[in-house]
Amino acid sequence: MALITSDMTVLDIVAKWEDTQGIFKRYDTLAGECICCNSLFDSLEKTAEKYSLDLDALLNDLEMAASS
Amino acid sequence: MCPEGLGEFDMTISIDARGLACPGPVLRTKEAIETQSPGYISITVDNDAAAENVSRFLTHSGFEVSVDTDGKTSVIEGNRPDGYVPGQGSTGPRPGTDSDMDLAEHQKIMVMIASQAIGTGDDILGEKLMLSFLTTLKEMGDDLWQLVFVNSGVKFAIEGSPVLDKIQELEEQGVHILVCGTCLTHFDILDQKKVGETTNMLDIVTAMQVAHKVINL
Repeated sequence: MALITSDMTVLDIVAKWEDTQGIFKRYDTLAGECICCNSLFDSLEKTAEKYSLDLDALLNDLEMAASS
Repeated sequence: MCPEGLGEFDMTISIDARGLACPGPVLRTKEAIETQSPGYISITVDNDAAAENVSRFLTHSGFEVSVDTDGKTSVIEGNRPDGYVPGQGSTGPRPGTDSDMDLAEHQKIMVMIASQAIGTGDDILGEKLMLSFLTTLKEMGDDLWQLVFVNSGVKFAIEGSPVLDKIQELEEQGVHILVCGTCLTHFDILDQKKVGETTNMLDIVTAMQVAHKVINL
């Protein structure tokens, strides 16, 4: 069962799984700005939509970080 | 891990989050609130994003928030009106408030503006009434806590709005101005917003929960 779902906010995720911060930092390059600075209270779904990110890939990367 | 500067006996917390990148300041604040349940908290940060996010998080958590900045460093102070966190009991008195009687003098009124006009029947009249309402809103004084713009109401918060200066005055006086981000995007005017904090439905729902009174127009 997935730990991370698209309706969780960025804050929900980084607060619970510290290692996920590195994933968001990695996606900052694709987003063009600091996700944790500008979308901390947004859901993953909204964040992906806002920055045109691949939501499935982001979920997968976060899941791996959270599970490690 | 305990935050630095934690006051152990007066249930106040002081956090120096300078040098921490996002989401560090918010995470430190979150942890402190969840573990210590303070009635008063002060967080010092050294970047705008941290100041905005910490302020927003404190507001979500039921604190009345004030920000003092010198352009480089911002000190965000939060007072929880009832000093109470559900399930964790009372946190006791807070510094800066003489008694609960002081708190009782002010309500937390949230006003939702969801259109360009008040009422139906005549749009021109409705728009005049709305402009008059927004101009007169300052008469609520300190009881006016949050002013939230949603749907076409967000157009009052953008460049060229006839009441932009009135709303900016309210913000300067400490009223929290929230502007629906989804609505700004829908009308393609996100980059024209000139006042308030871009917000989402979670902010609005949380604010409704905290407010003593919600007025919808």
